[in-house]
Amino acid sequence: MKLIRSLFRTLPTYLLWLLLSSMFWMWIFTFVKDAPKEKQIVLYASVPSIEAKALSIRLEEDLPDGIRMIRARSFDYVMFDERNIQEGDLYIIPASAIEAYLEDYIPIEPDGTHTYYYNEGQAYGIRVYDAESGRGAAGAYIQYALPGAEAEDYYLFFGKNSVHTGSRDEAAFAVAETLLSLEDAP
Amino acid sequence: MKNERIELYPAERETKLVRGNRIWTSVALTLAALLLAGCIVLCLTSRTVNEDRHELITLILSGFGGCAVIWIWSRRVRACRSELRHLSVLHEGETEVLHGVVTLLPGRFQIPGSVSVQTLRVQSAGGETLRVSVISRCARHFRDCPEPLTLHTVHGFVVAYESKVEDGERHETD
Repeated sequence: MKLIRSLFRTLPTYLLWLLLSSMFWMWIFTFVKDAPKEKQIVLYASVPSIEAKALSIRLEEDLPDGIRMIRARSFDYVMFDERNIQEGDLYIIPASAIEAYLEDYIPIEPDGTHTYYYNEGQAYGIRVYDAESGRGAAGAYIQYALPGAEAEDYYLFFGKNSVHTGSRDEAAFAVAETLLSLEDAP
Repeated sequence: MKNERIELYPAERETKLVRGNRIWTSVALTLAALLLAGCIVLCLTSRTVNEDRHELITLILSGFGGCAVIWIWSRRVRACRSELRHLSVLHEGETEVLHGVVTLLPGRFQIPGSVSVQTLRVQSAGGETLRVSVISRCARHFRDCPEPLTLHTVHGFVVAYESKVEDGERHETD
């Protein structure tokens, strides 16, 4: 009885501690789960479905030097703030949407090992999903076409605001290579 | 039958309290430091693959571990320190002697920042009634005392009492 009375007397202290400590560590983990732009590669994918976490974990197995974190995200992630999307390093876009976003991507040097998207004779994107054969890069993590729906090609682009496409390092290209080498690549 | 003086604050009690304060303070601080170190290690070793699990473990560790530290601090460390402070006040006071029939009154109250006490009513042979306090830990000595007792008090707190005991019988003070 004495113990129960004592517990009830101190219960507010314990509850207050639980609340404050939870809030503190959840706040700390918002920083732990993030990294500065210079140490992070962000991949946006405008696809019907993506296992973002699993893909991030897989890509982090081959982390380029100087990079601490790779984040794969669906385009839905930026629905509340479109500015986020301009900070991405890699983009997977369906062929039908390329025209709308092309100015946000940089041209690349084709090496002949992939199929590219050309605009005015300049290569911009690497094909990651072939609608005809139904095969796509990282197919275990990304669903490019819904069953029964009309499929289209998808391309991988490099963001013009990325610091990992030559201005600081070339980590975005390394991550793109890893992505393209994943199972079910075209 | 002989008169025996029973000390409610024997010398070894203070030693025990000092040691208890040191041990429980060390336990609480060590536990707090270990919990903090554990949480920091979990933060630093978090990667995408384990960040959710690490966050959950950190929340559980800091939440319930912190509660354990609060419990040790409030129930053990503060109890030792309160009684030590109470003792130091008693050491400075002068002793008064009272004689009469002692009745333990129900209910206890906590002196803020100090010990928990109960009240004794002392009725002297001349019919005079006085009230003194006794630390709750020792209140049981004064339950069912039909015989008059001699009480030694400091600042209104009973520090010792004398009672008639059979030869060979002993009172436990703690």
